[in-house]
Amino acid sequence: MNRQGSSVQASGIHADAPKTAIEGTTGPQPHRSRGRRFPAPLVTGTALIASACLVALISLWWTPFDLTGVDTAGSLLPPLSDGHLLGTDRLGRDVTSQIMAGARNSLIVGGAATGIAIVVGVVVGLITAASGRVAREVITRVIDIGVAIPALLVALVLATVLGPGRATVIAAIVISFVPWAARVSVGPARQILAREYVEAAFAYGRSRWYVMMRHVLPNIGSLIAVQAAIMFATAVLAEAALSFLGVGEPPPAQSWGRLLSESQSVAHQAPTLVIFPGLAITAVVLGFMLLGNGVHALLDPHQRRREMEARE
Amino acid sequence: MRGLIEVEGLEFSHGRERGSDARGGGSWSLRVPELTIEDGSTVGIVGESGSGKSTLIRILCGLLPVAAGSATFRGKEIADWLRIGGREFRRQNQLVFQNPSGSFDPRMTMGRSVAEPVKAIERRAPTGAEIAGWLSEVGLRGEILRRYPHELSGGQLQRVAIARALSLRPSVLYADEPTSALDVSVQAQVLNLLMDLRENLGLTLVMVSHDIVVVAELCEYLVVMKDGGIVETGRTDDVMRRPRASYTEELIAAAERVSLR
Repeated sequence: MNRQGSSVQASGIHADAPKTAIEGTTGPQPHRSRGRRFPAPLVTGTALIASACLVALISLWWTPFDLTGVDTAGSLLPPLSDGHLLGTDRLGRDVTSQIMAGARNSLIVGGAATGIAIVVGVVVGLITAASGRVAREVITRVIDIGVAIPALLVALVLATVLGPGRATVIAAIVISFVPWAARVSVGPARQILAREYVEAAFAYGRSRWYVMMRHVLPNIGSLIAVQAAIMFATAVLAEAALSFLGVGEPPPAQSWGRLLSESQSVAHQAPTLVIFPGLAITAVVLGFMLLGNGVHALLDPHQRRREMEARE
Repeated sequence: MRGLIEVEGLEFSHGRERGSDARGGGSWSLRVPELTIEDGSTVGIVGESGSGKSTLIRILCGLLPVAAGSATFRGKEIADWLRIGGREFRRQNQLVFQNPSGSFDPRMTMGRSVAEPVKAIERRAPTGAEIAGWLSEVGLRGEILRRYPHELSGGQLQRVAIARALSLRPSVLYADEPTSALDVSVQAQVLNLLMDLRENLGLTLVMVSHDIVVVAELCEYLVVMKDGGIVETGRTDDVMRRPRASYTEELIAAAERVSLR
């Protein structure tokens, strides 16, 4: 099928007008319809994350109950009692309000950590890919060491040095993500650098910097976007874990991880106190994972073309 | 008479890592004791894969460094050109590649890709009329400019690649196996196009190929390469009629066997 297709096009080059005209009219059509089909994971993931963002935003101005209101008389109420949609915790605080405010924390930490780590990591990756052999070997080893450093230990050490808090959590996640982001971008960047269009760009005098920014970065962009989504998911998990361990922002700030750790002791009396924050974490993590897959499917031109061929 | 390009005692070696990228490992070196390419000539470089022909033209157009010896363009070392006057050297030495679909950034429209060399070298955006002119030289129409590489055929892409290389009005065009990735029916068209353009623009054309018969048909001079060295050079007629090296005889014999079938 492929061979036939190309020989038809080849005869079109003979430059007799009708054939090229036909090519001209049929060519761009799949191109136009491309935008309308969004893969299901992308839609689901976007919906999950959009609702998490919306909840976080709303929590800035409104929560069903006061966030700091402690009411020991009304503690451990089951869901749907006294207007508490998801019940109350050990100190009588409204779980719905706590989860809403916790979303804010998760998204801020996840977004900041992922953003910083991706920018720094990708820059390191691009520099590594563009370096000569010796420099590249050295940086690659350093990156390998960075990947091997246990993130949890870094976080606990940081917490003792800087004290617990949001900045500590972000710093700990960034430190463990940067080598990862760098390592993920080196290979693909080198693949792009080996392409003929990069050689052509050097042959017409483009600088290494220009080639990295205008040819390499856009062509590994979809891959980086996918990595960023997965990192965001991991960062949300890491934030929950670190807050659970007490490295995160101390009370009265809200966090899903601390909600879980605080509910540990009463989990057998009120299992919903563990289930709801757990579900919230799962939803956001799943949302970013799906988003990552969806972005990958949407942006990868090769996969897109294969899909187009499969439909024909 | 001095040649446009003169090579003397040139050496280059691929490190282990580059060899493992392209040629299956092992260190490998190129040695060219002497080679002269005259202004306005057509030179065919033939040899099997791994013979160093692609590496040689990449050194001559400044993409790979000269490790030892000398390679001059218009009487000045290429390394010196690249240090001072790099842009003028790039303008005069352009390249067309083997694989047309890899020759274009998949995220750029053909229009942007074609405009790139003039933007890079002359620091200005070419006008629509200029671009249309370059395309018509290679027998294409302006409507392809809005398309992306994957929407064009190999033959069309190779024509655009030629148009892009010639947009700078180079004095030398290097063509690295320009037709080996194309359908047989398109190969002759692209080769004819190259020869026509060469004549109209007064180009020096250096064509690399593994097919000695095709190159002999088109080029005045032949350079036969094997294992990183030059086996034989000379006027095409002489080389084809009275090959001095046994390897050249083998190449000719092999090509004839294929064409008889």
